[in-house]
Amino acid sequence: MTGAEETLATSPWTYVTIAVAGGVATAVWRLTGAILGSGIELASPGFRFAKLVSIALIAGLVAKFIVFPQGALADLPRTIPVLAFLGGLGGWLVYRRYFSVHTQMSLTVGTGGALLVALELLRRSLMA
Amino acid sequence: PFFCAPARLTPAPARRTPKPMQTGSFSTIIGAIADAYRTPGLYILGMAMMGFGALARDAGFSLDQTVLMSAIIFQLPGQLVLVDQMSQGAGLLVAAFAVTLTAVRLLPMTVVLLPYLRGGGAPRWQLAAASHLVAVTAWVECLRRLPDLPERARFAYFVGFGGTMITTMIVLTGLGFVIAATTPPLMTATLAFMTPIYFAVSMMAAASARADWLAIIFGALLGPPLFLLAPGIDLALTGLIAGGAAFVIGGRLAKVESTATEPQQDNPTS
Repeated sequence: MTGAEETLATSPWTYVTIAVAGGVATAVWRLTGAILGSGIELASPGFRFAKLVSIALIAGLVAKFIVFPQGALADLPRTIPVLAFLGGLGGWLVYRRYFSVHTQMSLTVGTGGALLVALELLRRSLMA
Repeated sequence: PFFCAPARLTPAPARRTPKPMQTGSFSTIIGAIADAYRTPGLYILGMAMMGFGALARDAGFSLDQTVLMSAIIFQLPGQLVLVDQMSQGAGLLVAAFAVTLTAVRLLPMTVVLLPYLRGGGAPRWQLAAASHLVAVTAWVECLRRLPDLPERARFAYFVGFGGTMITTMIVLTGLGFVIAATTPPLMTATLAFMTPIYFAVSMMAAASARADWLAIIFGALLGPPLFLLAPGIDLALTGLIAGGAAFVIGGRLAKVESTATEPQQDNPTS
Protein backbone atom coordinates (compact mmCIF):
# COMPACT_ATOMS: atom_id res chain seq x y z
CA MET A 1 0.00 0.00 0.00
CA THR A 2 1.46 3.35 -0.95
CA GLY A 3 1.46 6.13 1.59
CA ALA A 4 -2.20 6.77 0.89
CA GLU A 5 -2.95 8.27 4.26
CA GLU A 6 -0.20 10.81 4.25
CA THR A 7 -1.18 12.21 0.89
CA LEU A 8 -4.93 12.09 1.37
CA ALA A 9 -5.11 15.69 2.42
CA THR A 10 -2.79 16.99 -0.25
CA SER A 11 -3.68 14.88 -3.27
CA PRO A 12 -5.98 16.43 -5.88
CA TRP A 13 -7.26 12.92 -6.56
CA THR A 14 -8.99 13.06 -3.19
CA TYR A 15 -11.26 15.82 -4.42
CA VAL A 16 -12.15 13.86 -7.52
CA THR A 17 -12.96 10.80 -5.46
CA ILE A 18 -15.12 12.81 -3.10
CA ALA A 19 -16.97 14.38 -5.97
CA VAL A 20 -17.56 11.16 -7.86
CA ALA A 21 -17.63 8.37 -5.29
CA GLY A 22 -19.35 10.65 -2.82
CA GLY A 23 -21.31 13.24 -4.72
CA VAL A 24 -22.40 11.49 -7.87
CA ALA A 25 -23.02 8.18 -6.14
CA THR A 26 -25.44 9.88 -3.79
CA ALA A 27 -26.98 12.38 -6.16
CA VAL A 28 -28.15 9.75 -8.64
CA TRP A 29 -30.62 8.40 -6.13
CA ARG A 30 -31.96 11.80 -5.21
CA LEU A 31 -32.38 12.86 -8.83
CA THR A 32 -33.94 9.58 -9.86
CA GLY A 33 -36.30 9.92 -6.94
CA ALA A 34 -37.16 13.44 -8.02
CA ILE A 35 -37.93 12.26 -11.53
CA LEU A 36 -39.90 9.19 -10.52
CA GLY A 37 -41.63 10.93 -7.65
CA SER A 38 -43.24 13.48 -9.88
CA GLY A 39 -45.51 10.83 -11.24
CA ILE A 40 -46.58 9.05 -8.10
CA GLU A 41 -49.84 9.56 -6.28
CA LEU A 42 -49.82 9.88 -2.52
CA ALA A 43 -52.52 7.32 -1.91
CA SER A 44 -51.10 4.67 -4.20
CA PRO A 45 -49.83 1.31 -2.96
CA GLY A 46 -46.53 1.97 -4.74
CA PHE A 47 -46.04 5.00 -2.54
CA ARG A 48 -46.84 3.03 0.60
CA PHE A 49 -44.38 0.37 -0.43
CA ALA A 50 -41.59 2.88 -1.05
CA LYS A 51 -42.22 4.46 2.33
CA LEU A 52 -42.07 1.13 4.13
CA VAL A 53 -38.87 0.18 2.31
CA SER A 54 -37.18 3.39 3.36
CA ILE A 55 -38.32 3.01 6.96
CA ALA A 56 -37.07 -0.59 7.09
CA LEU A 57 -33.77 0.45 5.59
CA ILE A 58 -33.13 3.08 8.21
CA ALA A 59 -34.17 0.70 10.98
CA GLY A 60 -31.65 -1.78 9.62
CA LEU A 61 -28.99 0.89 9.43
CA VAL A 62 -29.57 1.90 13.04
CA ALA A 63 -29.55 -1.68 14.29
CA LYS A 64 -26.40 -2.41 12.35
CA PHE A 65 -24.65 0.65 13.70
CA ILE A 66 -25.50 -0.21 17.28
CA VAL A 67 -24.52 -3.86 17.01
CA PHE A 68 -21.47 -3.34 14.76
CA PRO A 69 -20.28 0.20 15.37
CA GLN A 70 -17.41 1.97 13.63
CA GLY A 71 -15.04 4.67 14.70
CA ALA A 72 -14.64 5.76 18.30
CA LEU A 73 -17.76 3.86 19.26
CA ALA A 74 -16.08 0.63 18.24
CA ASP A 75 -13.48 1.05 20.95
CA LEU A 76 -16.06 0.48 23.63
CA PRO A 77 -17.00 -3.06 24.60
CA ARG A 78 -19.89 -4.31 22.48
CA THR A 79 -22.52 -4.40 25.20
CA ILE A 80 -22.29 -0.81 26.38
CA PRO A 81 -23.72 0.91 23.29
CA VAL A 82 -26.42 -1.74 23.00
CA LEU A 83 -27.47 -1.28 26.61
CA ALA A 84 -27.39 2.49 26.35
CA PHE A 85 -29.47 2.33 23.18
CA LEU A 86 -32.08 0.02 24.64
CA GLY A 87 -32.17 2.07 27.82
CA GLY A 88 -32.75 5.23 25.84
CA LEU A 89 -35.58 3.68 23.84
CA GLY A 90 -37.07 2.23 27.00
CA GLY A 91 -37.05 5.72 28.40
CA TRP A 92 -38.94 6.86 25.32
CA LEU A 93 -41.80 4.52 26.09
CA VAL A 94 -42.20 6.40 29.34
CA TYR A 95 -41.55 9.90 28.01
CA ARG A 96 -44.10 9.60 25.26
CA ARG A 97 -46.91 9.51 27.76
CA TYR A 98 -46.08 12.81 29.33
CA PHE A 99 -44.25 14.99 26.87
CA SER A 100 -44.63 16.55 23.45
CA VAL A 101 -42.91 14.96 20.51
CA HIS A 102 -39.90 17.24 20.49
CA THR A 103 -39.33 16.89 24.21
CA GLN A 104 -39.74 13.12 23.98
CA MET A 105 -37.07 12.91 21.35
CA SER A 106 -34.62 15.21 23.12
CA LEU A 107 -35.05 13.32 26.38
CA THR A 108 -34.61 9.97 24.69
CA VAL A 109 -31.44 10.98 22.93
CA GLY A 110 -30.17 12.62 26.08
CA THR A 111 -30.92 9.52 28.12
CA GLY A 112 -29.14 7.31 25.63
CA GLY A 113 -26.08 9.52 25.55
CA ALA A 114 -25.98 9.87 29.31
CA LEU A 115 -26.29 6.11 29.74
CA LEU A 116 -23.44 5.54 27.34
CA VAL A 117 -21.15 7.86 29.24
CA ALA A 118 -22.27 6.52 32.62
CA LEU A 119 -21.83 2.87 31.69
CA GLU A 120 -18.42 3.46 30.22
CA LEU A 121 -17.20 5.48 33.20
CA LEU A 122 -18.56 2.80 35.49
CA ARG A 123 -16.72 0.14 33.57
CA ARG A 124 -13.51 2.07 33.73
CA SER A 125 -13.76 2.67 37.45
CA LEU A 126 -14.47 -1.01 38.02
CA MET A 127 -11.46 -2.02 36.01
CA ALA A 128 -9.02 0.48 37.45
CA PRO B 1 -54.07 35.09 5.69
CA PHE B 2 -51.87 32.59 3.95
CA PHE B 3 -51.10 30.84 7.19
CA CYS B 4 -54.24 28.93 7.91
CA ALA B 5 -51.74 26.64 9.57
CA PRO B 6 -51.85 24.46 12.67
CA ALA B 7 -50.34 25.71 15.92
CA ARG B 8 -47.07 23.93 15.53
CA LEU B 9 -46.02 26.18 12.67
CA THR B 10 -44.41 29.49 13.56
CA PRO B 11 -46.87 32.32 13.03
CA ALA B 12 -46.10 34.57 10.10
CA PRO B 13 -44.52 37.96 10.82
CA ALA B 14 -47.07 40.44 12.08
CA ARG B 15 -46.71 42.96 9.27
CA ARG B 16 -48.35 42.19 5.97
CA THR B 17 -45.51 41.56 3.56
CA PRO B 18 -46.23 42.31 -0.08
CA LYS B 19 -46.37 39.10 -2.10
CA PRO B 20 -44.37 39.35 -5.28
CA MET B 21 -44.01 35.54 -5.20
CA GLN B 22 -47.12 33.58 -5.75
CA THR B 23 -47.22 31.51 -2.61
CA GLY B 24 -45.91 33.87 0.08
CA SER B 25 -42.73 31.87 -0.07
CA PHE B 26 -40.66 34.29 1.89
CA SER B 27 -42.63 34.09 5.11
CA THR B 28 -42.92 30.34 4.72
CA ILE B 29 -39.18 30.06 4.43
CA ILE B 30 -38.60 32.23 7.48
CA GLY B 31 -41.02 30.07 9.40
CA ALA B 32 -39.25 26.97 8.17
CA ILE B 33 -35.86 28.28 9.27
CA ALA B 34 -37.21 29.05 12.71
CA ASP B 35 -38.79 25.62 12.92
CA ALA B 36 -35.54 24.01 11.88
CA TYR B 37 -33.71 25.65 14.76
CA ARG B 38 -36.37 24.40 17.11
CA THR B 39 -35.97 20.83 16.00
CA PRO B 40 -33.87 18.67 18.30
CA GLY B 41 -32.89 16.74 15.21
CA LEU B 42 -30.82 19.62 13.94
CA TYR B 43 -28.74 19.72 17.12
CA ILE B 44 -28.45 15.98 17.39
CA LEU B 45 -27.44 15.54 13.79
CA GLY B 46 -25.19 18.51 14.35
CA MET B 47 -23.41 16.64 17.08
CA ALA B 48 -23.11 13.62 14.85
CA MET B 49 -21.66 15.82 12.12
CA MET B 50 -19.15 17.16 14.59
CA GLY B 51 -18.25 13.56 15.34
CA PHE B 52 -17.86 13.05 11.62
CA GLY B 53 -15.54 16.04 11.37
CA ALA B 54 -13.35 14.54 14.05
CA LEU B 55 -13.44 11.14 12.37
CA ALA B 56 -12.42 12.53 9.01
CA ARG B 57 -9.57 14.45 10.55
CA ASP B 58 -8.46 11.25 12.22
CA ALA B 59 -8.46 9.53 8.85
CA GLY B 60 -6.19 12.12 7.30
CA PHE B 61 -8.50 14.48 5.41
CA SER B 62 -8.02 18.21 5.34
CA LEU B 63 -10.61 20.66 6.62
CA ASP B 64 -11.85 21.72 3.21
CA GLN B 65 -12.18 18.11 2.06
CA THR B 66 -14.19 17.20 5.14
CA VAL B 67 -16.53 20.14 4.75
CA LEU B 68 -16.85 19.31 1.06
CA MET B 69 -18.00 15.83 1.91
CA SER B 70 -20.73 17.14 4.15
CA ALA B 71 -21.84 19.60 1.50
CA ILE B 72 -21.80 17.31 -1.52
CA ILE B 73 -22.94 14.07 0.05
CA PHE B 74 -25.06 15.38 2.92
CA GLN B 75 -25.89 11.94 4.14
CA LEU B 76 -24.07 10.73 7.19
CA PRO B 77 -23.91 6.98 6.47
CA GLY B 78 -22.57 7.64 2.98
CA GLN B 79 -20.05 10.07 4.41
CA LEU B 80 -18.89 7.53 6.97
CA VAL B 81 -18.54 4.86 4.31
CA LEU B 82 -16.57 7.16 2.05
CA VAL B 83 -14.13 8.11 4.80
CA ASP B 84 -13.77 4.47 5.69
CA GLN B 85 -13.13 3.40 2.11
CA MET B 86 -10.74 6.19 1.25
CA SER B 87 -8.69 5.83 4.38
CA GLN B 88 -8.21 2.19 3.43
CA GLY B 89 -7.00 3.26 0.02
CA ALA B 90 -9.90 1.77 -1.90
CA GLY B 91 -10.18 2.65 -5.57
CA LEU B 92 -12.67 5.14 -6.95
CA LEU B 93 -15.14 2.60 -8.29
CA VAL B 94 -15.09 0.43 -5.20
CA ALA B 95 -15.68 3.43 -2.96
CA ALA B 96 -18.41 4.72 -5.26
CA PHE B 97 -20.19 1.39 -5.15
CA ALA B 98 -20.10 1.25 -1.37
CA VAL B 99 -21.35 4.80 -1.02
CA THR B 100 -24.06 4.37 -3.60
CA LEU B 101 -25.43 1.39 -1.72
CA THR B 102 -25.83 3.47 1.43
CA ALA B 103 -27.57 6.12 -0.61
CA VAL B 104 -30.18 3.81 -2.11
CA ARG B 105 -32.61 4.77 0.61
CA LEU B 106 -32.61 8.31 -0.74
CA LEU B 107 -34.60 7.02 -3.68
CA PRO B 108 -37.73 5.94 -1.82
CA MET B 109 -37.34 8.88 0.54
CA THR B 110 -37.28 11.37 -2.31
CA VAL B 111 -40.08 9.56 -4.11
CA VAL B 112 -42.17 9.75 -0.97
CA LEU B 113 -41.52 13.44 -0.46
CA LEU B 114 -41.97 14.60 -4.05
CA PRO B 115 -45.77 14.39 -4.20
CA TYR B 116 -45.93 16.79 -1.28
CA LEU B 117 -43.52 19.20 -2.91
CA ARG B 118 -45.14 19.08 -6.32
CA GLY B 119 -48.24 20.99 -5.35
CA GLY B 120 -46.57 24.37 -5.06
CA GLY B 121 -46.17 24.72 -8.79
CA ALA B 122 -42.39 24.82 -8.66
CA PRO B 123 -40.71 24.04 -11.98
CA ARG B 124 -39.09 20.65 -12.52
CA TRP B 125 -35.55 21.89 -12.21
CA GLN B 126 -36.25 23.41 -8.83
CA LEU B 127 -37.70 20.13 -7.63
CA ALA B 128 -34.61 18.34 -8.86
CA ALA B 129 -32.30 20.85 -7.19
CA ALA B 130 -34.28 20.68 -3.96
CA SER B 131 -33.86 16.93 -3.93
CA HIS B 132 -30.28 17.51 -2.86
CA LEU B 133 -31.67 18.56 0.50
CA VAL B 134 -33.32 15.21 1.12
CA ALA B 135 -31.70 13.57 4.12
CA VAL B 136 -33.05 11.56 6.96
CA THR B 137 -33.54 14.33 9.51
CA ALA B 138 -35.16 16.76 7.10
CA TRP B 139 -37.18 13.87 5.75
CA VAL B 140 -38.58 12.57 9.03
CA GLU B 141 -39.42 16.08 10.15
CA CYS B 142 -41.01 17.19 6.93
CA LEU B 143 -42.95 13.98 6.51
CA ARG B 144 -44.55 14.85 9.81
CA ARG B 145 -45.18 18.49 9.06
CA LEU B 146 -45.83 18.80 5.35
CA PRO B 147 -49.22 17.08 5.35
CA ASP B 148 -50.47 19.73 7.76
CA LEU B 149 -49.38 22.59 5.56
CA PRO B 150 -51.44 24.05 2.74
CA GLU B 151 -50.35 22.45 -0.50
CA ARG B 152 -48.86 25.57 -1.96
CA ALA B 153 -46.56 26.16 1.03
CA ARG B 154 -44.93 22.78 1.13
CA PHE B 155 -42.14 23.30 -1.35
CA ALA B 156 -40.99 26.58 0.16
CA TYR B 157 -41.15 25.08 3.62
CA PHE B 158 -39.03 22.15 2.59
CA VAL B 159 -36.44 24.38 0.95
CA GLY B 160 -36.27 26.56 4.04
CA PHE B 161 -36.04 23.63 6.40
CA GLY B 162 -33.63 21.53 4.36
CA GLY B 163 -31.51 24.50 3.40
CA THR B 164 -31.09 25.45 7.04
CA MET B 165 -30.14 21.90 7.88
CA ILE B 166 -27.45 21.54 5.25
CA THR B 167 -25.92 24.93 5.97
CA THR B 168 -25.78 24.30 9.69
CA MET B 169 -24.41 20.80 9.19
CA ILE B 170 -21.64 22.11 6.98
CA VAL B 171 -20.62 24.62 9.60
CA LEU B 172 -20.74 22.08 12.41
CA THR B 173 -18.69 19.58 10.44
CA GLY B 174 -15.98 22.17 10.18
CA LEU B 175 -16.31 22.96 13.86
CA GLY B 176 -16.04 19.30 14.79
CA PHE B 177 -12.92 19.01 12.69
CA VAL B 178 -11.30 21.97 14.34
CA ILE B 179 -11.96 20.96 17.94
CA ALA B 180 -11.21 17.28 17.33
CA ALA B 181 -7.69 17.50 18.62
CA THR B 182 -8.88 18.49 22.05
CA THR B 183 -11.83 16.12 22.49
CA PRO B 184 -11.58 12.89 24.48
CA PRO B 185 -12.54 9.72 22.55
CA LEU B 186 -15.51 9.01 24.77
CA MET B 187 -16.94 12.37 23.80
CA THR B 188 -16.47 11.59 20.13
CA ALA B 189 -18.10 8.21 20.60
CA THR B 190 -21.07 9.77 22.37
CA LEU B 191 -21.51 12.33 19.62
CA ALA B 192 -21.54 9.57 17.04
CA PHE B 193 -23.97 7.59 19.18
CA MET B 194 -26.59 10.33 19.15
CA THR B 195 -27.53 9.81 15.54
CA PRO B 196 -28.81 6.23 15.61
CA ILE B 197 -30.90 6.91 18.69
CA TYR B 198 -32.33 10.00 17.09
CA PHE B 199 -33.20 8.20 13.86
CA ALA B 200 -34.82 5.40 15.84
CA VAL B 201 -36.99 7.58 18.04
CA SER B 202 -37.95 9.84 15.13
CA MET B 203 -39.23 6.95 13.14
CA MET B 204 -41.09 5.50 16.06
CA ALA B 205 -42.69 8.83 16.83
CA ALA B 206 -43.71 9.22 13.19
CA ALA B 207 -45.05 5.69 12.83
CA SER B 208 -48.74 6.05 12.28
CA ALA B 209 -49.85 2.73 10.88
CA ARG B 210 -49.21 -0.79 12.01
CA ALA B 211 -47.27 -1.44 8.83
CA ASP B 212 -44.84 1.32 9.80
CA TRP B 213 -44.09 -0.49 13.04
CA LEU B 214 -43.65 -3.77 11.22
CA ALA B 215 -41.18 -2.12 8.88
CA ILE B 216 -39.19 -0.79 11.84
CA ILE B 217 -39.13 -4.09 13.69
CA PHE B 218 -38.38 -6.27 10.67
CA GLY B 219 -35.75 -3.84 9.49
CA ALA B 220 -34.03 -3.77 12.86
CA LEU B 221 -34.07 -7.55 13.09
CA LEU B 222 -32.79 -8.10 9.57
CA GLY B 223 -30.13 -5.43 9.52
CA PRO B 224 -27.33 -7.00 11.60
CA PRO B 225 -27.61 -10.55 10.24
CA LEU B 226 -27.69 -9.37 6.64
CA PHE B 227 -24.65 -7.26 7.35
CA LEU B 228 -22.82 -10.41 8.32
CA LEU B 229 -24.14 -12.42 5.42
CA ALA B 230 -23.91 -9.92 2.61
CA PRO B 231 -21.98 -6.80 3.60
CA GLY B 232 -22.26 -4.09 1.01
CA ILE B 233 -25.75 -4.86 -0.20
CA ASP B 234 -27.13 -5.61 3.24
CA LEU B 235 -28.96 -2.30 3.60
CA ALA B 236 -30.67 -2.54 0.24
CA LEU B 237 -31.72 -6.10 0.97
CA THR B 238 -32.92 -5.21 4.44
CA GLY B 239 -35.08 -2.43 3.08
CA LEU B 240 -36.61 -4.50 0.33
CA ILE B 241 -37.21 -7.67 2.31
CA ALA B 242 -38.31 -6.09 5.56
CA GLY B 243 -40.24 -3.32 3.84
CA GLY B 244 -41.85 -5.77 1.49
CA ALA B 245 -42.86 -8.03 4.36
CA ALA B 246 -44.30 -5.09 6.25
CA PHE B 247 -46.19 -4.04 3.14
CA VAL B 248 -47.69 -7.46 2.56
CA ILE B 249 -48.50 -8.23 6.17
CA GLY B 250 -49.76 -4.74 6.84
CA GLY B 251 -52.01 -4.97 3.83
CA ARG B 252 -53.45 -8.29 4.94
CA LEU B 253 -53.99 -7.03 8.46
CA ALA B 254 -55.89 -4.06 7.10
CA LYS B 255 -58.00 -6.31 4.93
CA VAL B 256 -58.80 -8.67 7.76
CA GLU B 257 -59.89 -5.80 9.94
CA SER B 258 -62.01 -4.06 7.39
CA THR B 259 -63.71 -7.12 5.97
CA ALA B 260 -64.36 -9.12 9.06
CA THR B 261 -67.33 -10.91 7.55
CA GLU B 262 -65.44 -12.31 4.59
CA PRO B 263 -63.89 -15.76 4.86
CA GLN B 264 -60.26 -15.50 5.87
CA GLN B 265 -57.51 -16.44 3.48
CA ASP B 266 -54.47 -18.37 4.53
CA ASN B 267 -51.66 -16.05 5.47
CA PRO B 268 -48.36 -17.72 4.65
CA THR B 269 -45.69 -16.65 7.12
CA SER B 270 -43.02 -14.51 5.47
